[in-house]
This record gives sequence, structure tokens and C-alpha cells, in this order.
Amino acid sequence: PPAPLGFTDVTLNSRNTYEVSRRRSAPEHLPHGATAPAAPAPPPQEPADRARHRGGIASAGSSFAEFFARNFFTKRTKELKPAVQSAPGWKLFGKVPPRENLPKDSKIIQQEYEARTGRMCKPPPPSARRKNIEFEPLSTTALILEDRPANLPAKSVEEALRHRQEYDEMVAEAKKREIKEAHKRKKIMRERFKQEENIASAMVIWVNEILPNWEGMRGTRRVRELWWQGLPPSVRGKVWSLAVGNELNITPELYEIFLSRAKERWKSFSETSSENDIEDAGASVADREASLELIKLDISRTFPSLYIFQKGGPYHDLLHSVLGAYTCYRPDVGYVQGMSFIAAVLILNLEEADAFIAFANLLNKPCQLAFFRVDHSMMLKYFAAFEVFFEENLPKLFLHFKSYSLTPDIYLIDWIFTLYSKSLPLDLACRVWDVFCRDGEEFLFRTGLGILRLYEDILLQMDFIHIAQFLTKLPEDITSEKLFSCIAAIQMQNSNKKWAQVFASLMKDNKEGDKNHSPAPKN
Amino acid sequence: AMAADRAGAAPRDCPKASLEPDHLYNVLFVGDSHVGKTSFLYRLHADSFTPNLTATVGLDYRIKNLVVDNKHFALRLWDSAGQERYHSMTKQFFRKADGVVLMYDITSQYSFSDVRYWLSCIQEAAGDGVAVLLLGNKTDCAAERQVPKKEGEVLAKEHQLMFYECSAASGHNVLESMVSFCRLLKAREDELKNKAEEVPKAPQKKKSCCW
Repeated sequence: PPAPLGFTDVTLNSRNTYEVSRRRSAPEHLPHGATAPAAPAPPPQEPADRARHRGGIASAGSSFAEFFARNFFTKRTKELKPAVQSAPGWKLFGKVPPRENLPKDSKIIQQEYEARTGRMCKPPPPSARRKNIEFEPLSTTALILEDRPANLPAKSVEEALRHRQEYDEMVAEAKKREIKEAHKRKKIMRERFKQEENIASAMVIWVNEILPNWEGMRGTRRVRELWWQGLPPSVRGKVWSLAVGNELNITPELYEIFLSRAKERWKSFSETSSENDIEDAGASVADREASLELIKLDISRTFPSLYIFQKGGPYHDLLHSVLGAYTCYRPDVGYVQGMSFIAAVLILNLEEADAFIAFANLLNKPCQLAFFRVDHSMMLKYFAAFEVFFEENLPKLFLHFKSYSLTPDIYLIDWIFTLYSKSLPLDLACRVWDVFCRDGEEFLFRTGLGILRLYEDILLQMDFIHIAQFLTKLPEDITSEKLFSCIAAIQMQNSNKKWAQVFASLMKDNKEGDKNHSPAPKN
Repeated sequence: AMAADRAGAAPRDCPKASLEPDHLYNVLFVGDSHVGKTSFLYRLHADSFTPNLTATVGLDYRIKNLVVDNKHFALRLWDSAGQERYHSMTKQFFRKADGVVLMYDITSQYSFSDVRYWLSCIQEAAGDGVAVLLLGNKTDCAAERQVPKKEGEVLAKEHQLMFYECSAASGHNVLESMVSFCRLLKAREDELKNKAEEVPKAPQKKKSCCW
């Protein structure tokens, strides 16, 4: 089915579609991005929402794909079309503007020449022409064959001959280039086709074999290997849900209860804030944080280039609901910046209630709980464990970082809080999530080491601030093949101790009152 | 303002920018969530504005090279997340900062009243010596203004802060404020240097005393 493949396309392009998506969005929805609209404007026509609802029980992932297949890419191709049409072959002198008073069309000159040299006795039939579209000398190339205008000295015989020769060379050269390009295009197409085939066949295995026997098969070598290759987008949400589990026993009904509670709070909040906007100014930061205002502000700042979570976007209300319900469900954790990215990725792959269940259970994992509660001593343990494996795997880079006192909190905070969804391209982040669901928290840190390994040579040339800047704004052209081969090369073994053991022994050290050598926050 | 305009950023490929800077400062950006810290840095970096920046999680980093008064300044800019939960993480960086840019949003009275909270954080962690620039952002949204310019000026005077109103969206006062802040940072550095030069005299005296 084309839908899941469409999803891959979208995510592959998610970082490059800014310009297109910007034009798509109506400017009045986002006055400045920096200011929250005071009154919610009536949402405009929402084709994606309809697409989603038409999908009914179909997974959100596929309807998301539909949305893009329908709106995003039709627009894209439309915009690309004119360019394609105006360049039906190649152009040797692309920058030369066409002269207005050409005595003859260059194409006619070319045909005349070909007729004279007997290369093409008759004009090719339309079908043959189309086949030959890969090579069609056009533009001003053939002008070289033409006689000079009357006001200029005429060409000598040698000169005309030379020009003829030059023309033949130019044509041959262009033909060669064109053939090379065509080969390249074909190769890319073949690779993409193969990739799509792989996804399709993996999907069949997941749906028919693995999912029906989940508990029995999830730990088998075959499944684990297939899992590493990346989950097909159509089963991704389902596998994530199963792997994250539901220790908290949350039901869709429970979600509805917390959602309605959140809605009540929004209502009372908007009423009070409009009445005494200024008088409340003395309220502390913490009070307002609890007031859900921050969620509103952050939703539009979640994957802004996708234009689906912003006000008027198809998933805006959904993201608002999931985050609001969570703050009512877990007031002890509350909303923390970074959460909106996690919820958004889940919403892209799961139905609303399932997304909430996965979200709440995911944030209940020890590592996520430590970070989102900003439990400094626990965070330090995670950083320290990370450094153990950092030193083991990349000793040179480790020393380089040490020499600048560059501690892992500088880059890991952003990576761990958002589970890489903010720092990596979305399709790649989803693949990291796939294996994170398989291997647990240790994979988050292994991914971090994989990134460091991938860019080790560059990082070794940089100083503190450049490293910090680089790691918090990773290159956008990072590919999954390269990253995953680097991650695979990271050994999560330290003198026969695995991640969990290293972490446990660090926890023990803490209880014995060991002094902390990591310069991360002390409280 | 004219002088500030001329003292613009050094172009990226300018050989001077790659040389050792004359002055290097760590500058930490703080202020409530959504006042425009990252947008300000983006304007400074790329001289453009996008309403599509993502929320900052933890910390972000930017380098900015400026040539002011024929001196090459390298600014290490630390952009912090505004949410209170992150403050305990941000606080450790106050100690490393030579200067702090404290930003509020002129269309948000809340963000302005939190300036006092932020000032207490700065004082607590960095002491009185640190240079502080108070910035009222979003002057382009004049219609929604909640904080009069006068209030910002009064607060800045009270706490002896450098003060500007600016707009990351329009670019108004973005470079100007940073250029002035560079001068302030340099003045502070010179002050400290002078003090440091006075200090060695004391041990020398002591030495002669003991002898």
C-alpha cells in the first residue's frame, strides 16, 4: 500500500520543506510566532483533518501520510512542474537570455544542419522524439552554425568548418553528460524501489507473523534483527505501543476523564486571565507554569516546519489535549519543555488515546522520570555512566572534550529530553525510537555515542563553543545508514559490565557518599 | 547609533574573525519562556527572522564575532530554556558568564515582573560584578505593548543595568545593543585588570616586610 511509503517520503523531506510549507500557511495564523493570538481564530478548512477522519480507525500514521500525499506533495510537484517543462533537455548556455530578434529559431538551424549532414533525414515521429528526450540539444547551441548578421564580416570557410566541429563536440559532450545523469537517476530509482520493496516485505512479516505472536517472538534473534532495520511506518505505532507497554494500566476512558479535567482548567484559566491579566502579574513563575499557558505557547513551536501542530493545523488540538491531560494525570511531573516533541512524534504514529497511553508510560520510565523531574543527582548518574562508555569507545575524543571541560550535559540534555526528535531529522529520530523501544534507555546513550563517533574527526578539530554549537545543531544531511553503522560500532560493554551494571554500580557509589567528579549541576 | 551601525559584524570569511580574538566573553541569555531569546540570537546570527523556531530545551550555543572600535570580539552566547524547571540547570552557567542578557517581552507584563526574579538569580549565582543587559523585546508589536518603555528604564536605573528595547522580528536595536554590551564588557574587564594589577603590589610589600 502506498500510504506508509508516503510517510517515509514526508519525513525524509521534513527538514527541506520549510520554504514550501511556509508558503502554504496562511500568515494570519502566526502573527509573529512570538506572540500568542489572544482569541482563538476559527480554524480554516482542514483537509488533513478530513483525511484523518475518513481514515476512521486506520492508524494516524497512514492518515498523516495521506495528508501529505494529498496536499503537501501535490503542491510540491505542481510548483516543480514549470521548471521541468521549461527544461526539456539540456542547456549549454543556460544563462544566456534568448535574443528577441533571432533571424531563425535555433532548433530550425539545428534541424537544417542535421538534414544537410544526413543525420536525420526526416523529422522524427512524436513517439520517437519522446524516447529521445534524454538527449535533445536546444537553446542557443546551434546558433554557432548560423552565418553572421550582414553588418558583420562573413565567416570564412575554415571558421565555418571549425564552428561545425565545435558544435559536434559540444553535442557529443552534452550527450555524454546526459547519459551519465540518466544512469544516476536510474540507479537512485532502483535503490528507492528496492527500499520500498524491503519495507513492504518487512511489513508483511510484522503483520502476519510477529504481531500475532508478540510475546513469544519479540525477543527472538530474527525479530530483533528485523527491528534494528527500522519498523515499517504502518506498524510502527503498534510496535511502539506494545514495546512501551502499559504498566500504568491507563484506559481510553481514563484518558477522557483527564482530558475533560484539563478542558475545565483551560476554561477557568482563560476566564481569569482575561479579567485580571495585569493584577496577577505578581504571581510566581511556578504558578503560571502550572496554568497550562506554557503548553499553548510551545505547541506552535513543536516541529514548526511541518505546519501541522500550529494553530489551525490538523494536529494542534490533539497535541494540546494529550499534553493537557498528562499534566492533570501527573501533576507531580507537570509539563516540561521538550515533552511536546515526544507527544508529537507519538501523535504522528498513533491514535489519540493510544498516543496518550504510550506517552504516560514512556515518561514513567526511570530515565525519563529523572530528566523530566530535573532530578540532578540522577541525571548526574546517567551522565557519568555515559562517560564510562564514551571513554571506552572513543578515548581520543573523550580526552579532547575533557581538555575543554566539555561535560555531557551540554549536549545530552537536549538529546535525552526530546529523545532525539528535535536534533535528528524526523525519519531518523523514528528509527532511533524503534531501537529505543527494543533496547531501552541504554540505546539513547548509545545513539549519542554513535553521533559522536560519526563526527569524531570534525569534533577533534573544534574548540569548546564550536563543539557545543555543532552538537546542538547537528548537520541536516545526516543519513540513517551512516548513523546506524556508527551506532552499531559502539560497544556497550565496559570490562564485561553492561550499561545496567555500570549504572547500578554508580548508583551504589552515590549512596556511599562518593564525591562527584562531574562538573554538572550541584544542588 | 551610527557608530554602532558601522561597527557591524565581521564577515564570516574575514581573516580577522578566524584569528585569535582580542576579547572573548561568555554571555548567557535568560528570561521567561517565549520572550524571544532564540529569535534574538537567530537575528544576530543570520540577520533574519523566522517565526518557526523550536522551543529551546536545555541550552543552545552560538558564536558571534563582532568588530567594535577596531577590536575583534568573540562572544560565546549561551541560550537557555525559559521554563522554571530548567532554571536549576541554567544556574550553574551563571558562574561561567562574563555577562548576562536578561530579556523580557514588552507585550507581556508577566515576563517583565519576572525580571526581578531573574535578577535575584543572577545576583545569587554570579555576584554583583557581572554585566547585565536588560532587553525589552518585540517592539514591532507596538499595539500589544503592556510594558511602557519608562518602566524598563526605571528598573534598569534602579539596578544599574544597561537597557535597550529591541525587536528580533524587525532587527531594531539587535546589533546596536550587542555592540554597546561589548563595550560594557570590555570596560568591566579593564576594571578587573586594573584591580588585578594593584593586587600583586600587596604581596611584594609583604615580601619586603618579611625580609
